[in-house]
Amino acid sequence: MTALSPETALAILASHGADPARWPVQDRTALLALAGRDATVAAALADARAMDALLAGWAAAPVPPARIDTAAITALPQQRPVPPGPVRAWRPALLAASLALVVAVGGWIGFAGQYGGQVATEIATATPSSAGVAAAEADLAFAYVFTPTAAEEDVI
Amino acid sequence: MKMDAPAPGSGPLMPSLATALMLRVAQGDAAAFTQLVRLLERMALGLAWRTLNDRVEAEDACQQAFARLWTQAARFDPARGNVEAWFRRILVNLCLDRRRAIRPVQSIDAAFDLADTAPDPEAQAIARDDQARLAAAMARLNPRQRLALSLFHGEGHSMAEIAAQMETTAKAVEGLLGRARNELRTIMNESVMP
Repeated sequence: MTALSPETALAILASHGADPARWPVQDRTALLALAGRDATVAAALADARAMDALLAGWAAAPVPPARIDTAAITALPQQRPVPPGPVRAWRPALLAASLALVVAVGGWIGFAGQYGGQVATEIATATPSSAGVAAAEADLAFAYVFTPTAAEEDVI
Repeated sequence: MKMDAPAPGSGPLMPSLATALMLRVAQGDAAAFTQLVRLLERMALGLAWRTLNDRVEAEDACQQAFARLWTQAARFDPARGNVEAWFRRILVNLCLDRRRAIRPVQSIDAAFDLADTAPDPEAQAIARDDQARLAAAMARLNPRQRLALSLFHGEGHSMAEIAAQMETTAKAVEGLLGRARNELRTIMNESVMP
C-alpha cells in the first residue's frame, strides 16, 4: 500500500468525489485507510458523498425529447472528399524539377562568385573621379538627413 | 431491435448499429440519418442542456451538431473510433464555442424561496431545496465546468476519456472538476447563510 498524504487525499476527493471506484486505483486502499484515522479526510469524504448524490440527481434529471428537424438537415448537401486524380500524379516530378532548378541556380551563383570576385573588388576600391565628387557629397548629405539616430530607431 | 437511447451513465450505445447507420448516412441515406438521430438525440440534448444550462441553446447546438454529422458524414472513419464518440466531440466543440454568457434562469434567492413554498413533507422539501440551490449554483459555473461534471457524473466517463473529448489533459480535467465542485459547494453554502 502506497503512503498517501492528507493533502493528496483531499485533492482526490475534491476532483473524483466519494466513490472509491472512481479514484485512481493505486490510491484506493490508502485513501480509505486514511479516512479511518484522519478526521479531516473523513469529513471531506462525507462532504464529497453528499455532493455526489446531488450531482447524480442533477445528471439523471429527465430530458424531454429533442426537436431535431431532420428534414431541414437532410436537405443540406453532403460534403464529398476529393478523390485523388491524375492531376496529382505529376506533383513529385514538379517537386524534383524545382529542386534541380534550385541546385543549378545555386551552383551558377557559386561559380560566378569564384571567378567574378576580383572585378567586384576593383570597382569597390576605385577612387571616384572628380566629376563624381559632387554626387558623393550629395549622397552624404542625404544620408545625414535621412539616416535615423539610435533614439529614432527605437521609436521606429 | 431496440432503438431507444440509454439513460445517462448506462454505458455506450450499440456501436455496430450506430456504425452501420453512419456508413449508410455517408452514402446519403436520409432514413438512416433519421434513425441515427433518434439513437443519439436524448444523450445529445442531455449533455448540451447540462453544459449550456439553457434548453433553447441546447436544442440549437444539437441541431447544428446533427447537421455537421450529415454534411461531414464522409469524413467518418470507423477505424478511428465509434460514431457516438465522434458525434459527442462535435457537440462538445459546438457547446464550448457558444461563448456568449447565458444568464442564470433564476437567482439563488429565488430558487430558495421557490423551494420553501413546496407543500411536501420535510425530507422531500429539503431534497427539493438542495436540488433547486444546486440548479441555481450550476448557472453560475462556466460551460467547461458543467461539461466536465456532466461527462463525469452523468456519462460516467473517466478522466482520460473526458480529456479526449475536451481536447485537454487528464490532469487539467481533475483540476476543472475539483474547482467546479468547490465552487458549487461555496455558492450553495452562501445561499443558506442568514
